[in-house]
Amino acid sequence: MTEPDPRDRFTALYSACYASVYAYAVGRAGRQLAEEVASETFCVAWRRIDDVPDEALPWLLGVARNVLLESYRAEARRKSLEAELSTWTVAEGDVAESVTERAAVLRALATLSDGDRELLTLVAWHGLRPAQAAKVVGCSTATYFVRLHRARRRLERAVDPGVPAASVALVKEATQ
Amino acid sequence: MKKIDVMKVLPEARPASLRPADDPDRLARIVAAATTAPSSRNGVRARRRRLGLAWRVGIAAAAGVAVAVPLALMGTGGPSADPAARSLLLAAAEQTGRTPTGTGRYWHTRGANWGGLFSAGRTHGFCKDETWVARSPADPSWWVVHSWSRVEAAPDAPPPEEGSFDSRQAHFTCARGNRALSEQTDTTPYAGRLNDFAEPGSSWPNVNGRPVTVAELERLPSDPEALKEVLIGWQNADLSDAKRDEILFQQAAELLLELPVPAGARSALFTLLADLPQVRSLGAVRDPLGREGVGVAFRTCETRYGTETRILFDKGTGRLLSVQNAAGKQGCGDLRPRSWTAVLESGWTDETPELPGRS
Repeated sequence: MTEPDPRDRFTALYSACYASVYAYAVGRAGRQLAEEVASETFCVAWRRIDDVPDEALPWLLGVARNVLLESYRAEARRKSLEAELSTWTVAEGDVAESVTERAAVLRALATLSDGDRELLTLVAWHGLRPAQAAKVVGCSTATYFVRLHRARRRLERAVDPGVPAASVALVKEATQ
Repeated sequence: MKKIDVMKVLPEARPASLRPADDPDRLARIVAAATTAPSSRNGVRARRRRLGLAWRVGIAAAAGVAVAVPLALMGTGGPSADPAARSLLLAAAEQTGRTPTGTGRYWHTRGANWGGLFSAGRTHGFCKDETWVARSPADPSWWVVHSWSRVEAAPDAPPPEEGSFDSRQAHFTCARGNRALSEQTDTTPYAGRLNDFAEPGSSWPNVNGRPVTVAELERLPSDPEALKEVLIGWQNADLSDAKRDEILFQQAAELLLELPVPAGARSALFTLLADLPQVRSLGAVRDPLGREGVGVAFRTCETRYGTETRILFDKGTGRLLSVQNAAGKQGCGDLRPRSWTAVLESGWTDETPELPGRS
């Protein structure tokens, strides 16, 4: 069996994963920066094509995460993200009740911390399995589940403030 | 109220804005950018190392201009069209169109820059800097930061914003594009490449985050409607009219302030601003360096997000003095200054930059 041409492999990688990497970047830094972040992520992938594992998306999102953290001012990222979150609305064309529910969840999601939003959306929006999401954020799968559980509770409380906190410790964490 | 199963609803609530625009040329652009990279296989970390070693030369000079910067200068205003703003902008359109732009190897700008962070002691600092944007993509473009200045905030300045900044960065910074320099971790004088596209985040010049080339700027049309089309094309798709106008204002501010835009297009930018319904006049104001001018502002106030951009310019010539940004987390009720850039001089030159710490 012959090795695939690196350029073909890169093209396949781009076709399969660009939309997901872009979506992740929008969720972390807003549309103003997402295109550049996604492009830079694929530049890294081009240069390190031999290091890209078969299961490429978690690896790419990990690169995008590092690009965001290391290359952009926190201020620029925050400004762009604030603008993004203020525009999030639910797609039309559904029955009224589910639209209302989705809008409520989206609004609540926008009020969570960056970390919570990332944990929740890696699986819900970007199609990763929990073990893959754990790899992106750099923790064990078990830790990921614990953090996801807490993020979910905070999302539930943001949707409906009547939901009781799981424990005093969680309330403290949520307000930090 | 029925309890919502958030984990069931969340996947269905994915916003449409997460979908990238169709762009058949994107793959080729990425490959071109990646293949022109230097030998470094790890650009970001390599840049950090270089910042840490080779570029940290010289001693921080903290003395400087003793101007009370008007931190509390953000006023109030309504969303309707403002005849006073329109009159100021149309006069500037006429004046600026008469000044030829010239030519040269570098577009050189000298000014001052505040990256937008408060310190707890009510002092506040900015850097004095220069940008050298090469006409030819083959030449390097540079950002040179000379020194830091410390100034006392005005007595009626709002208290520092708490909790919103990364504490590791909570000191004086200045910034260009996505690059930032901080007084506590970087020393001046400093020289950094601006158009080394192999390194992530280094794309300058850019307009509201979109990298632009000198050739693109020189091609900007002098017809306001055609120019507006170009600028909207530089924005992201799917924006509301209000958001589109907000970004048009920001784009025009950045282009007019310090980028090599031909006289005809500069004039068209002022005309375009005069036609934005939400622009309002600030009347006679002083810029962060204390210079007198006139100003216009554009404000967006939403539930959890407020922002205001101010353009200050010389009434007689239409030359820009500064652009200031403020933002709030609760609509416009808590707007705080975030960043500003002031320009002392700008123009084409055949001179080349003197780079501190580089031979």
